Amino acid sequence: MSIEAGDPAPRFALPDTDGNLVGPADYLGRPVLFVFARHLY
Amino acid sequence: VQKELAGREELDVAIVSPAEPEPLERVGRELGLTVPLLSDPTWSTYRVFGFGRAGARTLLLAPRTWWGGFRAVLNGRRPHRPTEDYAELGGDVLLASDGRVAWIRRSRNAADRPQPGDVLCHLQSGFRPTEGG
Repeated sequence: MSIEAGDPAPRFALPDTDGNLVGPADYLGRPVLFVFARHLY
Repeated sequence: VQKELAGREELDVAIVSPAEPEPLERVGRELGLTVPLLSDPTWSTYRVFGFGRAGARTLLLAPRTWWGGFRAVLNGRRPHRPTEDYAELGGDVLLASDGRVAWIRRSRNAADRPQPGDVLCHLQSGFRPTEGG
């Protein structure tokens, strides 16, 4: 089933460049845009 | 998108990339990115959100793909040999403050990215079930 607007965000946590795990739960209370890039350059 | 949206009080931005953290940190530094850069080398989150894969036609033959690459070079980015799966496509997911998906946009080809104004429009209008628009 695909995720659409109105659905709860799936849980995930990914390492940032400092090794901290970051995911949607870290942004609760504030809107956040996750940009899923194919590559950065 | 980051340069126009980062620093706005009403919105946080995080970039997910299939690159490993070390090269991701280097590229982020070169590009002057200040938002969190998250590493997903297995593309697991891309699959969770249902971002697709580009066929050879859209990957190699679409004028927009070539134009996107040309613009990147004009902006000072060097062409490189891809180390990631080049057929995978990305997208953008706007999460509301309550953790729900407010907007999801799945890229239709390699150069298909939203304009910052599109993101802000959806941020202000709340939930809107669209795809690729």
